Amino acid sequence: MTDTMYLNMGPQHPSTHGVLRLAVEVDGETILAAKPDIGYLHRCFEKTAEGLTYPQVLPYTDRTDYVSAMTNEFAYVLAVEKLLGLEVPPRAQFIRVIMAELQRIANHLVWFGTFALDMAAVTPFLYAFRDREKILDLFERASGARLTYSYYRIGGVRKDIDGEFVRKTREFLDYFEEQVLPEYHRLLTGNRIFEIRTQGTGYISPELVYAYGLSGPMARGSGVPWDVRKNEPYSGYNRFEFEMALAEGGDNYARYMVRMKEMAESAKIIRQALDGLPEGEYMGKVPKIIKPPVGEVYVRIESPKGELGVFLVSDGSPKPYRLKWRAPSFSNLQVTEVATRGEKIADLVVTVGSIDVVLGEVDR
Amino acid sequence: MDWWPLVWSVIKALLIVTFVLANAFLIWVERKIAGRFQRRLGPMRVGRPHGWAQTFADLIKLLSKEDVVPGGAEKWLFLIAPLVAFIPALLVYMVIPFGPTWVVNDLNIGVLFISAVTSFSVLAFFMSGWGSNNKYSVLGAFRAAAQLISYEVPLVLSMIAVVMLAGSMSLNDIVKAQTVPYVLLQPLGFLIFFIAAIAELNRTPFDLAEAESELVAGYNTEYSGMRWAFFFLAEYANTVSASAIMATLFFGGWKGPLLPPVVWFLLKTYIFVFIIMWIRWTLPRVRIDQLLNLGWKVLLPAALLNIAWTGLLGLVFKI
Amino acid sequence: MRSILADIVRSANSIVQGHLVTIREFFKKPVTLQYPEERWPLPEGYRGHPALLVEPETGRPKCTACGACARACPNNAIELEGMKAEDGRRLPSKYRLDLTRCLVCNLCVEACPFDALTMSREYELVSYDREGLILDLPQLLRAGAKEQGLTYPLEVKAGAKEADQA
Repeated sequence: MTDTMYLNMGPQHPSTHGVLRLAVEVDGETILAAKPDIGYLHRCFEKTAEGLTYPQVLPYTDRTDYVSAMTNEFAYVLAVEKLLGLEVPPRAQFIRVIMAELQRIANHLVWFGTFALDMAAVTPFLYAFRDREKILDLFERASGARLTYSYYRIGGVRKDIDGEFVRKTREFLDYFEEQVLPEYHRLLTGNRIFEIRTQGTGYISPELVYAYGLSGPMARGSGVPWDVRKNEPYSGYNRFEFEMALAEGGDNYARYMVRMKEMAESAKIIRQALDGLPEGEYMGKVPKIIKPPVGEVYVRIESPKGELGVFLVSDGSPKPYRLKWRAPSFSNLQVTEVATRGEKIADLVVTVGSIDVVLGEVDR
Repeated sequence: MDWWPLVWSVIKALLIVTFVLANAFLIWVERKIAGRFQRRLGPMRVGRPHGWAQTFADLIKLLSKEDVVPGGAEKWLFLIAPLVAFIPALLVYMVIPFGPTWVVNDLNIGVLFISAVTSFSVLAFFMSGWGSNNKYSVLGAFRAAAQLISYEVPLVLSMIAVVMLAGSMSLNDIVKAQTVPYVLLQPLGFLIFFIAAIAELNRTPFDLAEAESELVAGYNTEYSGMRWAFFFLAEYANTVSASAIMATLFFGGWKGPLLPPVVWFLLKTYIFVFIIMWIRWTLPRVRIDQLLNLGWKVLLPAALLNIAWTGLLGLVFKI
Repeated sequence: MRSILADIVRSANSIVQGHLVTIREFFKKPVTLQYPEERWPLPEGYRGHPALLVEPETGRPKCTACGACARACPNNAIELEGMKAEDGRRLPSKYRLDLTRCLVCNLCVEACPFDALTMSREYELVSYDREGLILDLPQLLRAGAKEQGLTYPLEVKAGAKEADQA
């Protein structure tokens, strides 16, 4: 029992977020190497996309990162519109931003719940899902579905939002900012046990961020100021005032604080977007058959998990020649091995939880 | 020969055993309370209203499960471990006074008896871990055993402080000696006892033993059916007995105005049970090294400080 | 010494604060919906499975079997065949929607040039066998008419009878 032991946190496990297998080599309580083994959820998304027309690919993008579906669609339609050189009307841009930011809050709520659950604090999980239900109700009102929205279209959005939606969103934001966030901070953030579990564990240095191409809260939690919404604004994000959530610690606690701050900032953005919502068309002038000219484009957006990139190659036909989905969770997951070296087993679960992986995106 | 005291003792023993077995309902209560904390209903369907028959349904299911003994396991160790966990949990009730004369056997070494019997549960962990023939179970069991042993010391030390104040180890004498509840005289002692008791019970935030299914399998992985249920029931019986001991040692047991003593005792006990459940559903879990740190580096010095304080009380204030 | 004491006080306070949060939630009303006795009221645009709409005056499907929906579907869930009614109008003679393939993505509804498709609000789509998950023309028309507040078949007219061949 004194030499190294191989542990298999297999694909079915109460704590891994999705079908992820971690091959862990431990010496007593200390981890020597924790290698992620992926591929259990591979569904040939990129190959399937080559056989579908551009509008038909859209419902499939929902299903890669199923926890934050709106942002997937966002990335895809931006890529196609860039290839086509299409103008999106301002109202559609605002609506897209509102949906994306609401989705960011919903995603971070899931992450918050599961992060607490990994540490056996069961109650925040239930609270997070109760609040996420309100967002899903908003999405259901706007798009008709709760998880796979199929809401964005090439050139705009599918349906307009009405006054009822705006009113209910404002209600939700009031409730969220006044009751929910302070409650979470009281329940978990200041909690001493939570602090000793998350502070000092899962350290990722800024050099590691650059080496592995980490993005999103992984990068910002280590002090690297990269947010695609700020550095390369798209869809009118430069119209809104919000702060980039940055933390210096590089440990699990820093990433936690970054995501909590992001939720608050998203609420601010949604308010500004609702206040400034312009009148007009929700769908631009789109040709009947979408046949982009020959070329390639890489578009990136800030998904809740990091930088989501779409590389689209067109050969002039109505179907894409090559669709490459740069999933943030894929790059972020690779750092697991380095970040957990030398830590205790109990910290492994917390660290993987703070990376916020969704296997649908990792395996596509 | 005067049979009446003997018969009365047997009746009281049976009543107490019924009380303990009625703790099967406690599982249902915990599920409902957990639900309320989480803004949801608990069990609702098995036995309307409010699913009161849920525990019985689970019990029937567990009884009908196949008794699996892993190949290569130490047969006797494996089979007996659940009993070693369950029986001490029941034995403790022997000395707890439910009322002025409602105690099965008011031993004049009551406190010593309690600390001796509760240390048996450590054996149960060793036996189940080793007997499972599963290296993960062994590791989990050793971790759990380390936790239990570490927290026994502050537990017993805080009980000693109470004994110092009361001048006797018999629990009934301790209750009678509490003209003012001892929690007021030694709040630190109560706090230490409370935290150490939760650790001894293996409840969150100290539930590494059972929830080590984070990664390593816990000590009770290889158990199924009724044997697993015994571990589970032992935990609940222990919860109630620990709450009862807390109520007795620090809050005056069955003492109280107006209402009959039994009612006061049950009230105090179940308030503590509720608090223990409340804590379970609020706090995250600590890590094993942090847990042991807490036990040895924080609670033990605090317990010694508490004894010094109690000595001071006795010396200066002649309590 | 002072910082240790301050640290202890701060830690203890944080733990107490967490408990105050949970006990406050304890006394609030549970948010559980007791399905199937209680059901959630669905909003108007809710997307269940696709359904065919009927013309209120004649009781015939609005669908002309042009096949735009089948072409728009990303997963080939729709198969249809058309026929000509007596008055020259095209009607569907066979319409097969495979629920095991349908993504409920709404592309067929958008593709239809005659607004003959809508999304019903049926979400309880279960069956003991595969055939139960293949919806045919009468089932789809029933679901569509339900969305319109009508029942199908409305009246037995010459065109409607032929459309019901399946």
